Amino acid sequence: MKAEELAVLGQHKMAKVFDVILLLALIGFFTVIPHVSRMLYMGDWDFWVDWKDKLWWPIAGPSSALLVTAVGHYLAWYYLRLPLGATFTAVFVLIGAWLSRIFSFYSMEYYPINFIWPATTIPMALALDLILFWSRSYLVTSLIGGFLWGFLFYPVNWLMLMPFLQPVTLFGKTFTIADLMGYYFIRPQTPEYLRRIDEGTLQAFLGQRIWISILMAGIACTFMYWIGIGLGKLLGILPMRKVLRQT
Amino acid sequence: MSPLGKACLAVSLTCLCVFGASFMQAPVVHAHGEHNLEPFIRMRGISFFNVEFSHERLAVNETMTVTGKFRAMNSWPRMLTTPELAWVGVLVPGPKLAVRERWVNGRFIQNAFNIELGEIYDFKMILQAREPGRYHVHPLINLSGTGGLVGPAKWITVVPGDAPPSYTVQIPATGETIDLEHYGFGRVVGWHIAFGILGLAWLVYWARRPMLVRYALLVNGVDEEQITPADRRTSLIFGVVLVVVVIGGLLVTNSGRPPIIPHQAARMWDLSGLPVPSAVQTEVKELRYNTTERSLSMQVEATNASDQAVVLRKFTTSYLSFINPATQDLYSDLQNEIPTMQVEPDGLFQPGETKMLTLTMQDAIWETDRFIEFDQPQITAAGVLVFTDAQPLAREDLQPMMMGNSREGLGVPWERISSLNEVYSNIQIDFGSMGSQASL
Repeated sequence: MKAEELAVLGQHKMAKVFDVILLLALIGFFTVIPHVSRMLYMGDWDFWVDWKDKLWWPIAGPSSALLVTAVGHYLAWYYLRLPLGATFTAVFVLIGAWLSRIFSFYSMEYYPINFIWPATTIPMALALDLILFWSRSYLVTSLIGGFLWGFLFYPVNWLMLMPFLQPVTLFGKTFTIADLMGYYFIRPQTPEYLRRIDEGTLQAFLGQRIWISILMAGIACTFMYWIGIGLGKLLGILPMRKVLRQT
Repeated sequence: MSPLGKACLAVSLTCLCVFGASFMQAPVVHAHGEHNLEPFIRMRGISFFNVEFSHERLAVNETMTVTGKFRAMNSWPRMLTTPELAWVGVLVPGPKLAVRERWVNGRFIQNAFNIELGEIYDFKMILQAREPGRYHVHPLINLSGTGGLVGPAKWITVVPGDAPPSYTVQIPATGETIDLEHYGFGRVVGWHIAFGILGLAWLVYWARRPMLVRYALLVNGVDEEQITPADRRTSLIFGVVLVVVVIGGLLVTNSGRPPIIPHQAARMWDLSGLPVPSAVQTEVKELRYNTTERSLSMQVEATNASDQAVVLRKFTTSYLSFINPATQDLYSDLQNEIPTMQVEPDGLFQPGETKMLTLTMQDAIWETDRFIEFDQPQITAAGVLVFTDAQPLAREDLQPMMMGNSREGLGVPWERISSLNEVYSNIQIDFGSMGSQASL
């Protein structure tokens, strides 16, 4: 079949129906799977505003979020030549995260909604898709897009986090607003000593640990991008090739 | 329908019925750690006593006080990490009760605090009702490396109040008074919507064209031809908008931003335990459990080494306390709530006197709450014997903290603890008859 005939075929009603079915399936998949992945690997850093620190969250957050996002990014480009996989995943995982926060954390557990907002990855995902689209190269995308994914995660989410870092006092003790929310709105099974925030050996460099964190995040995400690509190939391409060979 | 289909349908319907029936039969579960932790962790971990709740019923926005003491046991299981840090809280299903204040040994507790085995700690928490309902509330001590150990619970009923709960706080740097339940949410939603619109616009741009056929085109060698010059121009626009939004957002947010600090994780490493009163010296001779009577009996030799008469007040382990009935008249508020034990010989300990005491605590809770389990290679029990002065003291005579809890409004006397003696021993089992667990 020639390209022109295929292009005409794409306008057929049944082709559009199949497109919608594919889209719905992908929405379901990329809402749930990355959400589970984020809950497992990002966990409390994504759940609670008083966990969103500038040492661990900027590294753990983007690295874990990139894993499944890179799968969607890779498969959309590989199968459809569409530079939308990362953005698609980032948008729908965020919708899934908000649904979880509203219907579980807020409605059932009654945590204040401003205490449990999820991090966004949409700007970095868009950058990832754009760089792949412009470069047509996974290598370039991993070096620039992967790095930007990790490097920009904290600054982008800092736009929302900043007000929660203002100091307040209670009985003479200094808290951030987020700390005080964590103090009042108790998480019985997450005692405070489990909170991994701003602890570690990155406290040197004239107190500029955020720069070290986001640089490390960028480098980590450069590698994580390839793990995501490998996962996409393993789960989304090799089985399909096998099926096609057998049919 | 084929036989296989009918069989599948029958199996599915059966599973559905069993699943539904399991919900109808499900008992109320108090899954807060009363049962699930191994007995040796509960009995040799933390011993709670004098735990009191100021209210059983309160309206939304009202506050209540939970007070009590706990001892970090010297008989701590050696197979577990010795805890360094502890965190005090309440076990409730979500923050239906907000914790407004936490105090341990008279000091305000911000985060976690250090804990030493063998020490006694006095806690106080102020809780504020947020959501109407009926909640099973425990005080909870979380220990690093181990997890949460719960104290005695009480059902608390929260009814609707006249006003919603208020969590306002003033920001010193700006003077602004904010509501913690809503502050900053508008900004969060605003940025999520802004980035969401950008992302959705990019998706709509690409997803509105045929999709599946693109794969067929690719297979047929049509690759770069699927990208149009308009696509390239659009991508440039999106790139520019993205850069402008992110950099502009950072510039706007940074300009004139208030002072900010990192999250505060300051732990309290200098919290001393309360002095452990030791007027009485004790030595456990034998611990014996009778499966027929479900009673734990303890033989303990006790010597009053002080110059005042004392009385054995109670035996406490984990969240259980057994009261000496001879002392009930002194502390009448507790007599309907806490089980009693037999003490022989009973009565006052005069200074210098030595007695061989036999304590008998008969209660099914030993087995129902898995305090004594036969399926263990070593069956042990541990707890604290609490001796008090023979007479309760007036409040003005008390030194702070050690003497009792904040019992304002309860109209009951305070309790001066003369001696806290930890007891720990292996248990000998009398299998008078095969109990329910004995078959294990």
